[in-house]
Amino acid sequence: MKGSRLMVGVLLLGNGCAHLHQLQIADIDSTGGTLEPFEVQVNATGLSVHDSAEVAKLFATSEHSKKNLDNAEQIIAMTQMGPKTGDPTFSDDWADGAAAQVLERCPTGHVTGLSARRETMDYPVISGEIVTIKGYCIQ
Amino acid sequence: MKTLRIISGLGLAFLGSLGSGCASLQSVSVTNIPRERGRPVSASADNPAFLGLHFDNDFADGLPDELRRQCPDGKVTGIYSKYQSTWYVLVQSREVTVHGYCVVPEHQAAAPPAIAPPPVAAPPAIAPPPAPTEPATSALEQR
Repeated sequence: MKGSRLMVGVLLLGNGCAHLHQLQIADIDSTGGTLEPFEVQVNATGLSVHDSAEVAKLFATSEHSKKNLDNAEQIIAMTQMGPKTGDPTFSDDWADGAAAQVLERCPTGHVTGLSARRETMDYPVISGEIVTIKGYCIQ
Repeated sequence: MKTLRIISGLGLAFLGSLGSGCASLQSVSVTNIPRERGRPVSASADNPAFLGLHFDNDFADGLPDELRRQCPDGKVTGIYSKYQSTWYVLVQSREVTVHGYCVVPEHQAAAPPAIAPPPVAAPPAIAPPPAPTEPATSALEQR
């Protein structure tokens, strides 16, 4: 039990940090007028299967239950193979509204210097899956 | 003797890992590259952290402003942005590098010579023909 607590402590220490997955910067046009900076952000909650399994194992009463949890974790991990950024989320369209938000912040539609950042804020078990878009609105 | 060998082996491994690092390319993007490339502009930012524990991702936020500063009156285009991370034993460094071209519009690039006073050749064209006995410089001084 003491070892498990130590493991959870190490797990918590390892989490609680920020991961930057992708960053891209678009053309910046300073010739069209005054540039007004803006920022929009969309996010979703991710779930770490590994962390969830570790926490569940802490509450498991028998070795048999722990083994079952191990198996479940491996099955889920194998069915979620492939390139990805961050933890799995409950929907895959959570970032679709980013473009609409950009237009809300810049009604003229004249935007330039867009930079898009895909990042994850890791917490125990869950994570914040974030897309941040910064840019300039040409006034 | 055996202990010395182990220590020297570990030392060599440590130095080797320090020298090489372990680089990982995270993302790359390129925007439209213009036919007439202007002045190259570039900027970079890095963010080292012990054990790779980063608490925010704001370290590269100043890059667009830095590019704007280098190209205040033009368009920064053909931007190649690269994000990579490198491990140096216990420290992870994240680096973002951007390269681009500053393209100033032709009407702006041509504007200063059009507004500026004409070169030395112009005054003699406007000035009345000097008297045959006076040198050309005296005619300019009178004006």
